[in-house]
Amino acid sequence: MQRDEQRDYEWVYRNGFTSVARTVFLIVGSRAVAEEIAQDAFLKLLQKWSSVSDYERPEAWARKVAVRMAVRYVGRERSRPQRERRAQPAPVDPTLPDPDVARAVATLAPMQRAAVALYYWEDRPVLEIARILQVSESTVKQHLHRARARLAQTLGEEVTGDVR
Amino acid sequence: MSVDERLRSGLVRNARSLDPDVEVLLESALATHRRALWLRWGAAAGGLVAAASAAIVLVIGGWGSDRDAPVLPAKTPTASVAIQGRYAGQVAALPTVPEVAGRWVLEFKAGGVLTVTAPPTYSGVVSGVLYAVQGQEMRTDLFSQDRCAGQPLGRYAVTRTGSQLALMAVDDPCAARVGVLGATAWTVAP
Repeated sequence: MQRDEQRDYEWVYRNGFTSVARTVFLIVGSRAVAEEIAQDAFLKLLQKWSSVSDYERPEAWARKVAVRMAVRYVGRERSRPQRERRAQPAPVDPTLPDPDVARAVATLAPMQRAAVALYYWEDRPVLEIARILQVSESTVKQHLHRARARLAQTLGEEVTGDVR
Repeated sequence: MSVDERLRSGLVRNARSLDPDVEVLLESALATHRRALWLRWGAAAGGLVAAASAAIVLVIGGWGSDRDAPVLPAKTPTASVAIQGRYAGQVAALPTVPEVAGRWVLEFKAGGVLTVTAPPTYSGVVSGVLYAVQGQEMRTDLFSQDRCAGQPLGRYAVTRTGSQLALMAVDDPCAARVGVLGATAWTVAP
């Protein structure tokens, strides 16, 4: 890797890592796992830097990779045998500023969690979420609709309107 | 309050509670990348050395033997053992590192990336781990960012039997790595 290339990569990493790790954190619910997944995604970005660096927003590539890894991780964790999960539960960190929201999000299916994090935290439009998750816009709307209904029930809040 | 307002405020506050040490992680990413290049270079160089050694053995063996006898194949490692996939194993507590106890998942991916999932109680760094397989031997830098920092790579003999994967330390000075990798039978995980 040339010095200029490394400098560009470092710039992208410094400006994008925290944001990506935070999105992953909202999906997986664990700080350590979030940092690992974000780190793996940025390592993949580094391995493919010669081609991805030409993109308009290379960090968007890493974000997409990280979100998909997070969804797969949650899916795998949920598919672990129930007895095993009971033996090693992953409780929500009580020191979080809003542990109730974290607990409620943890009850959602993997794709719903990702859609919620990208919509409410990253404030991304449905079309962009669909591209990141590689599903249709109507699928994203369905995920958000179901997630909102469930979260409203869990949190005791009201549902007003619908997603745009 | 509407659920949308609650989610926006709650998720923003929760997300901002994660404040990774970007400089440390960036340095780690660059170091891992350098190690990956080194491992790839090492595997390629190792292959060349093995091929050259085999050629020398054949030449010397052929020179000293009956010229009319058929040339026996050299006893060099054949194809590398296939270990790509996900394996899970139950690791017991180590005297020096009790928090390793629990279920570990190793995912050997293409491109030499080893994704490690540690038990929730384990707080060490398990990201950016690499591995390389040559013949029946696997090398890895697991725990090189903390518990095995500054130590050479671990070398393990690999035995794959059905859905079981056994890793036996050949040369690894890091006790924590040996305690995790070598002390359990890894079973293919979904």
